[in-house]
Amino acid sequence: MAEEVIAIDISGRHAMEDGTYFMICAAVEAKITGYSILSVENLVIKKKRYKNAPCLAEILDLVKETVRGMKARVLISEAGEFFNEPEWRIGSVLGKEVRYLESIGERRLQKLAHMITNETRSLLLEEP
Amino acid sequence: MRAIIVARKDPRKDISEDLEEMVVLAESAGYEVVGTLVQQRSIDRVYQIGRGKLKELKEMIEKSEAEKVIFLNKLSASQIFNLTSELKVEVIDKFNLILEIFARNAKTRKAQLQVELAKLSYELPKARVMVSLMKRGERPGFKSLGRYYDLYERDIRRRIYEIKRELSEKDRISEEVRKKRKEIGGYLVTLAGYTNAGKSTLMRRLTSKRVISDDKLFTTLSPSTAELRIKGRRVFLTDTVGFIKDLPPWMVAAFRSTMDEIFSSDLILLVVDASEDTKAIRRKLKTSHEILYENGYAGRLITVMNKIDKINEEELERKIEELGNLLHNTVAVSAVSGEGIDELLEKIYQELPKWRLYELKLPMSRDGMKLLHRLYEESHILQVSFNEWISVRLEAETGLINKIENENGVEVLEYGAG
Ligand SMILES: Nc1nc2c(ncn2[C@@H]2O[C@H](COP(=O)(O)OP(=O)(O)OP(=O)(O)O)[C@@H](O)[C@H]2O)c(=O)[nH]1
Repeated sequence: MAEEVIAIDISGRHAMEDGTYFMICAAVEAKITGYSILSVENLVIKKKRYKNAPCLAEILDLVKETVRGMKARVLISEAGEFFNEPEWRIGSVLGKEVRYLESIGERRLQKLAHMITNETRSLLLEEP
Repeated sequence: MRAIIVARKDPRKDISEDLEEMVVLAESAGYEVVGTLVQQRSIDRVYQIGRGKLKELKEMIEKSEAEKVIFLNKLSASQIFNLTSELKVEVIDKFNLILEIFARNAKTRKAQLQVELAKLSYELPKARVMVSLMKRGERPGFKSLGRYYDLYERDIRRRIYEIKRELSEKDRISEEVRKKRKEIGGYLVTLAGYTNAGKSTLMRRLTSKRVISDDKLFTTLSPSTAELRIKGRRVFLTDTVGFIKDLPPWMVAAFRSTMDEIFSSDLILLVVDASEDTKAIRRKLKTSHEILYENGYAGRLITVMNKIDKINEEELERKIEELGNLLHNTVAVSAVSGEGIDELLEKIYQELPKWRLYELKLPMSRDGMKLLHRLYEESHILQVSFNEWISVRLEAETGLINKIENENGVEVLEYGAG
């Protein structure tokens, strides 16, 4: 069955040479089924620098900012993105229903989001 | 056979789902589960569970007249030995149970070899311990077997080698058959899903009243594959071993080629038992999706909600609603009553690569007849008439027509979309 969801991915969990963190968060809003991506409706990418490794609250702020204005009710991600906290806890902070990856359709969309953050980060880091 | 299920759980770990699954597995292996026993504690090296619990288990066995004990935890050889000596009934673990189920379903020579290979791979590390325990004289009758262990381990190794050789020969042949099936425009469909979902029953139902090829090349080599024709299109349907959560690597290795067959098919019918509660279906769908994704499956998918004869329409609708995000291309059927089967066949047909409609003229000659024969094999003939030439109206794959067009005396008048 078709459902509209937002896939979240964050790249840059490892410190850079100078010890700071450069993170890219992508939110991809799309219509998916349990197996495939039907259409991509919306894409937002945010970048942010941190002096120290960001804590959960900071990650949640970044995600909130990225998905602002997106209307899909469900947000999907890997559990590790939110420090393996229970879905309902993360959901209540973000004001969305959070679901860690279950279906192939969700995994495919998540992979798309992941490729976007990875590539974006590499490109931005290459800039002079 | 009456069996008791035993589990030792680490503190704070929730094993209720695993336990539920174990009961279902045991039942599908033909056991009557007469009791379950759970203990929360750290592992006991001798018995896996504590001495007090062992006593309780012994009493339970006597009372219920159970003939077998099945552990959720993986047991070491010495634990099996100690437990058997103490309880006086057969003791197996989850992996032995899974192997029993696979063995029950292994109807082909290849499947039987795979099961044996998995069994032996599991036995091998145990052989040494088992024999040294026996040699210690704890079991009379084994004392004199001085070199038993060496022999035993060597025998197992030799047998593993033989099986692997036979299997690789079999794999080579089935690979060729698969290629051939694709070449003649066949479409490879696999039934996948958890054990007990009803795959075999559905397979029988789908192939029962359809025209089944008596082409021996295709049926004898792999009896778990059957051919059916849907509106003239050839579909090769294969039944497979059931998915089970967290299969250990040695087991996956033994069934590798069968698994690869699933992951390289054109279409998977993912079968679930719709009469189970939503939580169980969800868990199984999740695991199935995970397995398919991790193995890079990229074909098409139909979700089959089976056994709808056991539930009412309202319940079915509610479950479909609740399972929403895990569903794709869903069709509800009963393999037993036949309800929904036509719809499923239509869905399979919709997934087939589109063929086009053609009108051909073949020369009225031996060569022309040969071509006609080939077309009967590889396309869907709608009409044939014989005049000065043979005119044929058919649905076919473009590639086939391109090949035939180059033959002497053949004329192709394209007709339109199929
Ligand atoms: N009521 C009902 N029972 C069914 C249906 N389909 C299958 N069953 C029953 O479910 C049980 C399991 O069916 P199988 O076809 O052996 O299941 P399977 O998926 O092939 O199982 P494995 O071979 O263990 O992987 C059998 O007792 C079947 O009779 C159905 O549509 N309705």
